[in-house]
Amino acid sequence: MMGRIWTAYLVEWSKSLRLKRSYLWLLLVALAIGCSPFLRPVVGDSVGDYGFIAYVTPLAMNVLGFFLVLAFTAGLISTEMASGTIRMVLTRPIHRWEWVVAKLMAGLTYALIMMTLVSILSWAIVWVLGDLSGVTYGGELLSSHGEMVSAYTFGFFLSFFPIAAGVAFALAISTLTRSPISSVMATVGLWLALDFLKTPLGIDAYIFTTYLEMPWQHFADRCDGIATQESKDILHLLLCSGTTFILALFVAITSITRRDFSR
Amino acid sequence: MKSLLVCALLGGLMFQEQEIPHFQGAYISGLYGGTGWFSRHADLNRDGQMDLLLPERIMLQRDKQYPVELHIPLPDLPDGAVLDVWDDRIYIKHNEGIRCIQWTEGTWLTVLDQTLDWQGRVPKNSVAMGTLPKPELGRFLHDINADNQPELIEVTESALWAYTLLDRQYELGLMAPIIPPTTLSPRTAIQLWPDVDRHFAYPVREMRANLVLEGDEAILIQRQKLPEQLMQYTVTRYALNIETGTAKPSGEVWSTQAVPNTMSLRHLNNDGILDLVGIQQELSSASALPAFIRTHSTSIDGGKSFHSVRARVFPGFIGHTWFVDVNHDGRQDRIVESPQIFDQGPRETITSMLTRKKIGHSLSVYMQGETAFDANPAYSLKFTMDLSEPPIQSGPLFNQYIRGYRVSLLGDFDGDGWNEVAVQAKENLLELFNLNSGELVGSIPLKPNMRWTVGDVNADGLSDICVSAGIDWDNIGLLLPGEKLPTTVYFSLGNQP
Amino acid sequence: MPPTIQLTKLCKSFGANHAVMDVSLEVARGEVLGLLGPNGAGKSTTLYMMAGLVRPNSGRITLFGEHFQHNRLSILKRMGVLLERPVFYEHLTVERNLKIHAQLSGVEVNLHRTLDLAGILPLADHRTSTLSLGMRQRLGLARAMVNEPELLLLDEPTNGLDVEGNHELLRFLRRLADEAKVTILFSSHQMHEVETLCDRVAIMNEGKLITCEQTESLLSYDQTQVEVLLEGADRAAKKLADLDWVAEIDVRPGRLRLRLKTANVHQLTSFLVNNGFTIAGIIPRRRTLQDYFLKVMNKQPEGDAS
Repeated sequence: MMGRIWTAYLVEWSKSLRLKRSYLWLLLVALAIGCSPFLRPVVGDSVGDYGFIAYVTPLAMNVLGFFLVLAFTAGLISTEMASGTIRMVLTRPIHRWEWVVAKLMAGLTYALIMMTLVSILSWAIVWVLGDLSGVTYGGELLSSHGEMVSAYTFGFFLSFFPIAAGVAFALAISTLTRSPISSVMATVGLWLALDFLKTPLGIDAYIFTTYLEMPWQHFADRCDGIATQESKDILHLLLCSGTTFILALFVAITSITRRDFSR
Repeated sequence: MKSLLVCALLGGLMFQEQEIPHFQGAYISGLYGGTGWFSRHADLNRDGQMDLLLPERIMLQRDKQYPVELHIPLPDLPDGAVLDVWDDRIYIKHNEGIRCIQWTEGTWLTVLDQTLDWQGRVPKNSVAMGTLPKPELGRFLHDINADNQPELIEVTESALWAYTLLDRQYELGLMAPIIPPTTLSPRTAIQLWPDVDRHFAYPVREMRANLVLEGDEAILIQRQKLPEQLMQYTVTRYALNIETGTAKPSGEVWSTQAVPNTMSLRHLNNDGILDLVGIQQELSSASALPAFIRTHSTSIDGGKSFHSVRARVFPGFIGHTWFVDVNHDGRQDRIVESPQIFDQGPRETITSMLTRKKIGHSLSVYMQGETAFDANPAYSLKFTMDLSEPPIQSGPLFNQYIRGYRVSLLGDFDGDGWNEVAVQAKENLLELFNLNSGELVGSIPLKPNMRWTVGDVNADGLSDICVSAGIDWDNIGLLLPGEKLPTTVYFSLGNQP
Repeated sequence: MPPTIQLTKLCKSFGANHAVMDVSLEVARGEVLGLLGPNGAGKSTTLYMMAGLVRPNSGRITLFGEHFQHNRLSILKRMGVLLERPVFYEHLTVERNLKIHAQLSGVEVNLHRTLDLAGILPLADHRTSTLSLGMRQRLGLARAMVNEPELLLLDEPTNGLDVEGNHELLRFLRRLADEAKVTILFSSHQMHEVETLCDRVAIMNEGKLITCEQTESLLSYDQTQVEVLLEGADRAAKKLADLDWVAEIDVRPGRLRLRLKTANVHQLTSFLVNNGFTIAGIIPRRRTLQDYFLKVMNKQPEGDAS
């Protein structure tokens, strides 16, 4: 089973690596980060420069990057359904759910690459232009560079959970539509609709998008010298993201396994 | 007079309600909290109960309340009179001299009416154009020689003056030239460009010193500006002697370290060392949105070490309280409040600003220990403030909230030695949470558009709640409660079985 | 040895449309079965069900003696599928497409050899989006063959192929069946292809399997329709016209085409010889699949599914 999933995952990657848009979108994010010092200068003091990282990361990853990751994932299955290649794949000796999991893994990998790119670029800019010697206020060292790196790494790790939930969500939508464009539009539209309706409906605590930026915010809090790390929020993030991930994956697998792929 | 018992919804905390005309309760003073009162306590009729002195009347206490029939107007006062109270006597300082009156056997008895040639002008309260200056409460009485007769204190640009009572008449008893010279204010700098903004400004001189009287000592606190936005406080003590009419330096001159110029002096404990507190506000370095970081710094060792707490706030957010002796141990504890709307990242914050009708509010209490403030909060409470409308619409409830009118820490309502935090999380309900246990101990219903403050109105050791109506919440920053607004006081009766 | 394909009372409906009804069929190892029928007859749906793309409502698919639903992967491993109008990842090359298929099939093969067999090795580095219809069909065939299957499901495999390619393919498939004992289910509209390739022919209509016969038996000589080569065809025709056992006469230069009421060629020969005609030859007419197909479709009795 693992071998088949891994093979299907490698196949997915070999296909994605040959798509221009995979690189274009990464380039777009890189460009956004590269231009951000013009909007929010790297001032050369340690406080402000860690702040630059905290400023850039959620904007590049949770707004632009997340949108592109959703668009990438939303096209993974709907493209195959629209072109008909799904029929070729499903006549191969692989379970349908295994194929869906491989698609999910491809989406997650893309998200991971996007996150890594954002992280590397934002830190590199500050490394070249700024000062990374810890967060100091009023002469008092509040967080050393090592602590800031740890906080960021923890944020990186934690932020993967809601993003993974988003990937699974996009994949589920991808299985319910037959055109890549409508799939991307439905995914992004639902995301925005959820964001604007979740609070009036009182369900914001249960929607994974609420927690998308939270892990980076803890890093930002450190940059601002605020200690607000709370395990309760982290638990909510994990529970909500995990539930969304499982539900979305269930929807995606059910949708694919119960469907007939006739002409 | 309407009087009835209001029972707390939960717990045994009970209140007695009374509508008191002309009573204005407290107001929030200063950007970062603190409360001022429009009245003073004194046992004016010598019955052992604290009465209220207001600028135009007194209110006598009976059975923990202030019945309307015991509201007595003050006699006609000269224009610009300033009132102070000593025991049961009311001193009225005016341009021509000093008058002292006493409420005795149902009438005003003039104890003293003396012409005095003040060294400086009597400070007038601020008046609107075209209106007469009204009487106001002030502080000018201090007993220097411990004879239980207050001296009249006057401070001018050149000296501290004290008038002492000799043979039932006040005479100048002390002239202490201890006041430092004024300096030219840097704010008088003239802008030369652009041309349209070019104007000549009158030079303004400012006094960079404060004077505090403690017993027979005058404590002069001078501020000296240092480079790099630093400053230093110097404290000089003078022994005042009315008999010789002199003021001599006593003890050593004490100086703080060079501290940031946002720090000011305050008494946070009884260790005899002046303490430093300050708030600095700057834009968050890490946020894509205009979130402000407010740094609360405190030093209780004269500026050698600082305890700083940082919180993310709305632009213009006013915390109602800053330092409060939460557990009544004589040491002021630190309160840090923070609206929780900038703690979810830029995208989520924008969504919240556009759609969220409730926002979280966190309140942390840092206790002051023997030698320092605790590094971590002893109590952290979180409330969900109902705004009725999203913050972007800047509705009345939001305005009340960010101006600090919906959270107060000033009261010990049940007399257990721990302050309660009073929170108006919902528009129509004021809830009281005990800070020691975090439990809800009581609540009172509120009508819409009500403004409330907390304080011990009848000086019985239990905090009371003053509720007044009719504030224009959209312009709340410009308004103080008007004199004609009815105020209802909920007198705490403590925990009742 | 169990039959390679065993369909038992297979049914599939799409809403109110009964695409396949009670189809039962067996195909032996190495046998080539042609599946014929008009559009919408249920041929493709039957193939899609056997390929695992469409789930039957009822009935059972047994391939290689194993229940398809329970042994899906092991069956698919031994199977190659070419569906009508094969689709590919258009942004990838021919070789990459084939490689992906091989990877998903869990086999490691010499892709160049497979491409060579399909006649598209020179196009290995071309993007599939640049291929002509015929080349796409060849790539589809290569893809179906990449795992060296024991069962081939081919839906219109010769679509777009030129005459030579068509001929080559049919020959190749025949060789596969004969030498490698590959079982082939071959769906086509081209009667002559089925005639040429298939051992048996199954005809479907309106979701039902109408008949399934050996191709050879359908293509036997028809003794009632003969062509007589002789001199004096006109004269002979006149003489034959009066006979009651002759149903129809068509006179051509040097030959007569006759339809006899009974299959008695000997009677005809005797009559012509006795009347002085010299017969150069008598050729009975061979039946075509098309004849049979049309006959079956016209005479299809209601409710007759076998």
